[in-house]
Amino acid sequence: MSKELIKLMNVYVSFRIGGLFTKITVNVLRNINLTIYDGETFGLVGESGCGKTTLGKVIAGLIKPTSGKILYKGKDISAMTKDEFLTFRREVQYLHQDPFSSLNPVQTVYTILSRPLIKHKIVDPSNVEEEVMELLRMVGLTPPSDFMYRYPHQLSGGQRQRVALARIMSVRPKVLIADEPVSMIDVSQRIGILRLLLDLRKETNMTIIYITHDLATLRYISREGRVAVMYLGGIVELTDVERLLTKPLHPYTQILLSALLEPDPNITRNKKVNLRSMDIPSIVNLPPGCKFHTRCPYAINGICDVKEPDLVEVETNHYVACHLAKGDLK
Amino acid sequence: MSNSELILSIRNLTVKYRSRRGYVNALRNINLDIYRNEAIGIVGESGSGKTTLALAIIRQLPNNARIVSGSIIFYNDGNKVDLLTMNYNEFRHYLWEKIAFVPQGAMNSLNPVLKIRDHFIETVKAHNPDASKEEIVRKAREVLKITLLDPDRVLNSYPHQLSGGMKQRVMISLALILNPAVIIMDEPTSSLDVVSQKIILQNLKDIMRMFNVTMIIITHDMGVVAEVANRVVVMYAGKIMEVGDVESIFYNPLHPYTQGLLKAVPKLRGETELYSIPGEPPDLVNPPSGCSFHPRCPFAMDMCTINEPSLKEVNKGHLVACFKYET
Amino acid sequence: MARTSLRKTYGKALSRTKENLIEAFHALVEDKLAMSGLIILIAFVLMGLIGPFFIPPPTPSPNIYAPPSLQHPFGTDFQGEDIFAKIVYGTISMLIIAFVTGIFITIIAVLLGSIAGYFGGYVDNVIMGLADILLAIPQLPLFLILAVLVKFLNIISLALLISALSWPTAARAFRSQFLSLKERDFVEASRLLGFNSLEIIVYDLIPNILPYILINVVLNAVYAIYIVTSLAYLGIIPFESNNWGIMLYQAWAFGTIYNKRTFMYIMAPIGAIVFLQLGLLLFSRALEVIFNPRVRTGE
Repeated sequence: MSKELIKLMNVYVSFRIGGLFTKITVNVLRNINLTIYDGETFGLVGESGCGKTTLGKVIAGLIKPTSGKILYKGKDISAMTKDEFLTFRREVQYLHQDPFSSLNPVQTVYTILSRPLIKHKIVDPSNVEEEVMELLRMVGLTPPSDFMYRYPHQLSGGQRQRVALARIMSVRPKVLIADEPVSMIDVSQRIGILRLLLDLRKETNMTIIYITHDLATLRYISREGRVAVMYLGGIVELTDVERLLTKPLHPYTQILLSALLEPDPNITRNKKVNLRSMDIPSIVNLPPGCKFHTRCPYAINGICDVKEPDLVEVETNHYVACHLAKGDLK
Repeated sequence: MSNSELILSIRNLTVKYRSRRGYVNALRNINLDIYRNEAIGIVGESGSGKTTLALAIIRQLPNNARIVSGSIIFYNDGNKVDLLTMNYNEFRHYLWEKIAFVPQGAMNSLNPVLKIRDHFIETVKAHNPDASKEEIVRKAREVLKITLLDPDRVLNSYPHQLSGGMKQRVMISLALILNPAVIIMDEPTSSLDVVSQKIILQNLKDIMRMFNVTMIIITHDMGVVAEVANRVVVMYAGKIMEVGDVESIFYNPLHPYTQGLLKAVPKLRGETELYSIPGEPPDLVNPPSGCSFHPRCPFAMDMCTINEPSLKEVNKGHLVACFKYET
Repeated sequence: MARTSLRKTYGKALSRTKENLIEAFHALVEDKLAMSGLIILIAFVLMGLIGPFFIPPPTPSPNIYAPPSLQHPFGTDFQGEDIFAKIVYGTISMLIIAFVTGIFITIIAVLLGSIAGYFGGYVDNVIMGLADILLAIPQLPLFLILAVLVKFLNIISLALLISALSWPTAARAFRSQFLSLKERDFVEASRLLGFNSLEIIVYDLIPNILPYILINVVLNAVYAIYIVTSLAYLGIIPFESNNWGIMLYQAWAFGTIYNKRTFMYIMAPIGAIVFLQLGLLLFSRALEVIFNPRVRTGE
C-alpha cells in the first residue's frame, strides 16, 4: 500500500429531525475510523439506510461531521484555507447514483462539460471545444459531435452516466467517490460503465471509493481491494473483497452474502437467510449494545445487548466488530 | 409443464403509445400462455414493454395508449372470457377478486391517513359490501401472518409507522385477501434492501403453494427471476425474445440477447471476465428493421436486418425468436 | 486569437440555437391555442403601434351618443368622440403598463424568491415574513389610500408602485421552485466542481425556471391590466384620457348600459380588456411550448 490520502478520525454525523417541540437526534454515522490509501479502490458496502451514502458525502466534504476529523493529504479539511479547500473540492469528486437527476436538464452536453473547463481555466479558451471532444471520447461517447449538443433527456441512462463521468474527469480528480453508479442503469449497459471506471483508473491512477449494496459489482471492479461493511451507521467488518466473500466473519456480513441474489437458480435457491428478526431496527431508536444483536442468530444475552463491540483486527488485515469473532468474550 | 391448465392466454397483443415524436411501439404481437399455479418471471430492461404488458392485462393502460390488436383470454372456472373486450364494469369485479396487481413501489400506494386495518376493510368492502368487519379482520390476520408480519402490531399501525419492507408485505397481503387466481407484481422488491428482498422472495414461494395462486413477476433483475420463477419470459423492445423454464433459460439460453444479459451480470464467484452487450437500447418510435436486436447482436446475419423472426419452439417448452435456430 | 476561437466555439452553439428556434416554431404552429394567443397579442401590438397612423385621434364633436355606424364602428361617447379611436389610442399605454409592471414584479419576485429558497434560514424568514405582511393587506384599498399620498406622474411611476406591492405571490411560487430544484443532484455536482452560490443560481437554477419566469411576466401583466383598469375606473389615474378603465367609468357613470343605442360604449372597453387578457393567457402557453425542451422535442 502506498501513502495515506484520506483519513477519518472518530467521525460522527447526527441530524436533528422533527418539528418545533419534538426534535430528536438521529445518529447516522457513529465513530467512523478509516484510512484510504492513494490509488486504491475501496468498497463501502451496506443496505439502504446504513449510512454509506452519508459517509461518501462526508468524505467529499458535502456533509460536515458533527464531531471528528477528516484529513486530506494530512490536512484537516475543516481547517483549510479557502484556496486549499477549493483544491480539495476539485480533487475529490462524487459520482451520483441517479444520472437523471445529476445532469441539468436545460443544458446541452457541451455546456455541461465546458463550464468547469472555463471556470477553472483547465485548458486555454481556444481549446475548450477540443477538450470537450476529448472528454467525450475518453468516456466512450463517440463520435463526440453526435453528443455535444444533445440534451440529457435525449440520452440513455448509460450515456448520461458517461456524461456525468466526463464532467468529473474535466477537473482531473484524484479521488472519485462513486455512489451506486450502475444501480439505475439497464443491465446491458452496466458492464460498459464499470469497464469505463476501470479504464479511467488505469489511465489516471485515481483513487476510487465505490459505494454499493451489490458485492458482485464491487468484486468486478476491485477483486483485490479493501471493503468495509456498514450496518446502522457503523463499520462492522473491514478486509479485502475476496476474503470477505470467502470467509466473512461478522454474522451480518454472512447474512448479507446469503441474501444476495445470484443469476443462477441452483445457487440462489439454496442460500437461506437465518435471522432472529427480519426487520432492521429504526435508526431513530437504535438498540443498545451491538446494533445487530436484535437480528443476530448468535447473539448472547448479557453481552451483545449491553456492550458495543469495537472494530478489532482478528486476522492480519481483517477487522471485525463482533464479540464472537475472536472467541474471547470479555 | 406437468400441470398445464391454462389460466391466461395472450394472443397477438399490440399496444402503441401516442407521443409527440410519433407512435411508441410498446408491445408488438405478443403471444403468451400462462398456466395455473406457475410463477412466471417476465424480464426485460427499461422500454422492453414488460410493465405495459402487465397494465394491459389489468386494463390500466394510460390514456395515450391504444390497443391496436389482440386478445387476453382468462380461463375462469371453465369459462373463457376476453378481458380486453368485456364490459369495464364487469371487469372491475375481476380486478382484485380474480387478478390482483401489486404496482412498482407499491408501498407508496398505501393511503397515509388510513390504518392498515382500514385498508383491508375498504378493499374487501369494495367488492363485497356485506362482509362483516370481524370476518375481514380475521382474514387479514391470516394473510398478514403468511407474509411474516405481526398482525397485532401491523393492523393498528399507520403506513408511516412501518418500514418499506413491511409495507411491501402489507401490499402483498392486501392482494391476497380476496383469494385471487393471479397476482401480478411489478418489480416487487426493487426498492427494498438486500435482506428484505431475499426474505420476501422466499416467502412468495410459500404463498403460492398455500393459496394456489399464479404469479406473474415483472422485473429487470435476473437474480429475482432465478430465485422465484419456474418459467421465464425474456422481453426486448416490445417483443418476446425467449420463453422457457427457469433451468433452460439460465443454463441453456438460446437467444443472443438472453445469453448476453446473463453474461453481463457480475457474479459473486468464479471468473470476473464479463461480456458487455454493445450498442444502445432501441428507439421504440423507429424500431430497427427486421429483428429489433440485430444492431447489437454478435450473430446478426443479413436476413436479420430484413425479416422479423417469430417465436418458435426449439426444445420442448423452450421457445425462441431467432433465425439462428431456423435452419 | 482567443476571440476567433470563441466565435468558432459559440458559432456552433448559435447554429444549434437556430435549429432550436425552428423546432420551437414547428411546435408552436402545432399548438393551435398557443398560436391564437400569439396572434391576438400581435394584433393588439399592431393596433397600438400603427393604428394611430390610420385612425384620426378622437376629437369632441356635437354628434354625441351616436349608435354604431360605418363612420363610428362603436358609436361615439358623451363628448361625441369616436369610441373605436379611443380604444386604439388607449392600447399602447395599456400594453406598456402591463409589460413594464409584469417585468418589474417578476424581477423582484425572482430575486427575493431565489434568495429565500436557495439560502433558507434567517434570510428566508425575513423575506417571507415581509411577503406575508404585504399579502395580508387588501390591495385595492391600499392603492386608494396611496393615491392620496403619492402623485402618479406617469405610467412608469405607477408601474413601480404596483410592482413594489404585488411581488409576494410570485415570490412565493419562485421560492418553492428553488426549494425543490436545489435538492437535485446537479446542484450538488456544480458545488463539487467549485461553482459558488451565485453561479449556481444564475447558470443552473434560473435557466430551469426560465419558462416560469416568462409565463410569470405575462400573468403579472394580466394582473397589472386588472389593477390599472380598476384604479382608472375608480378615477385615481387622472393622466390618461384614453384609458379603457376611464372609458368604462364614464360609460357607467352616464348610464349607457340602460340604452340599446349606446350599448357598444360600455362593451368596447370590456371587449378590449377581455381579448387582451385572453391573448396574454394563451400566449403564456406558447412560452411553455417554446422554452421547455421536453415539450419541444416531444419526449
